[in-house]
Amino acid sequence: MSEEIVKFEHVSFSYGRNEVLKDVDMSIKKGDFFAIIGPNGGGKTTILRLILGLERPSKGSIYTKGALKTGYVPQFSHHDRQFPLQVMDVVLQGLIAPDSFFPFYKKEQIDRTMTVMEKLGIEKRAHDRFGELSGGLKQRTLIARAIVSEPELLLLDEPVASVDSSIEKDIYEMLVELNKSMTIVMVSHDLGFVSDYVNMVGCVNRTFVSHHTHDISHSDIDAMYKSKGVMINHKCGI
Amino acid sequence: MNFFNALMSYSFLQYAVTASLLAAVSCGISGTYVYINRITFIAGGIAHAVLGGVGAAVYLGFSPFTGALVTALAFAVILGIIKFKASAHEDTIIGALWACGMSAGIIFIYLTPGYAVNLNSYLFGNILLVSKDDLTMLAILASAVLVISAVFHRQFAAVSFDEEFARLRGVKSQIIYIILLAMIALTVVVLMKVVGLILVIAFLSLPSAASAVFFRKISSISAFSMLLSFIFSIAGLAFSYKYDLPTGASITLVAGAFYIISIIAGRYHGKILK
Repeated sequence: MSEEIVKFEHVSFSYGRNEVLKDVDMSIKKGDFFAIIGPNGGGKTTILRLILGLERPSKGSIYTKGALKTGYVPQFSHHDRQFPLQVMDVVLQGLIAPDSFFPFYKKEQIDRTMTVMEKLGIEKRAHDRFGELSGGLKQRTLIARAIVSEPELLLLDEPVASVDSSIEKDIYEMLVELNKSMTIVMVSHDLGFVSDYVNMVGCVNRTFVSHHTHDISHSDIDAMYKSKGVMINHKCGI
Repeated sequence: MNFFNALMSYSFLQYAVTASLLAAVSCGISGTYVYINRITFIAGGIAHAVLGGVGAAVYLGFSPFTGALVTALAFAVILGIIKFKASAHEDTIIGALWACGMSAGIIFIYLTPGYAVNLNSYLFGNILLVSKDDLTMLAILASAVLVISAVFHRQFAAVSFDEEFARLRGVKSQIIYIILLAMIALTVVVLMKVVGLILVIAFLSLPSAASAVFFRKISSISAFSMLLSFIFSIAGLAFSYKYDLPTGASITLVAGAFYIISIIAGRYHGKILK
């Protein structure tokens, strides 16, 4: 049995009077590729923010492995298209620290950034303005920024929300590759597609239920493509 | 006598040109961060509210310069805290500080006994009256802006681009943001001498916005904004000298005209200087 790195116990979370999550129990183990799915406003992003410590639960407790190194890929819609930053500078920001004074990077940091950019196939765009990239390349840049610090746990919020479906597959395959060296938790809107790649699926709509992917049969997945909402209701009982 | 001959002969013009240079250095740097963070309104709020500090200093018998400096820094801290604590009302609070600060300044200056203080020189600048002592102060402030921007360059960029991500990396985003606003506040005080408080906003937005049409790195935008600000100041100074017009307003109009030209140039010729 692999090591548990994040554990939610009876976690509830409210924004003001609006209860977003109710009594969530969740366990993420080392090496998991965990997809969190559910309707908009159902609390998917909140779970990521709770893991990261950006929000605190209003009830219950969250345990993370001591000194857990995380990498975060937020939804990129909030980044300013005009922002004057080159792709390489964005990736280098993945190494920013409280003591990053003066505008110089160490050679080791530059080398590491170049290696990660090559791994994700964005090295040729290193000096392009981030805002001018296509959706898929932007997403790769943000993933590079998240993994350049070599995290144990990579969290992604809707990594394929604004890319073409052909690129969606590339990104998922890249994540499978990354999953060999790190645990991944990904928020997604599309169970049918992700279930080919992930080993755990959690359905969240205020309450939370999780499954091993192999517990969901292929006929279920076929049915989900046709009537996803119904199948999620059925499998997760939400 | 034309402007350049006059420049050789009159020390007040030489001082004015030196002050323009120092202002250009500070506003090239701060203006770039105002531009990329889209906080023109915050910078404008600090600039206008500073009149309250100037008025209070004059009324209490301190130097207006000190009053401006203290108020600008205080507002930078207040607005930095508001940004993180009460974002829903942020623009209302800035608007209130903006207007109330100015009003307090006007009342203090009205109440000040003795000779009438020239309100206009704070509102519209008095670059032709810059003294040697003023230049020393401006040089200190401009150096402070330069040093702060060099030390915090990476953290300013990270917090400006994605504050939350920087915070997850352990960067104290709120403190960095307050330091950024404090740097802008120092620039406001420098610019008060050159173009006056009302026109500060032009210098914190136009040169950097025009530079951003042509450059794609924060450092290049800053460097080119410095150059542009200096050119605008000298051109405005020469123009106002030749036609005997108010200097601060002339400089601002030169900047505005160039900005419009740069937008048109950027649109018709693509990004010229990639």
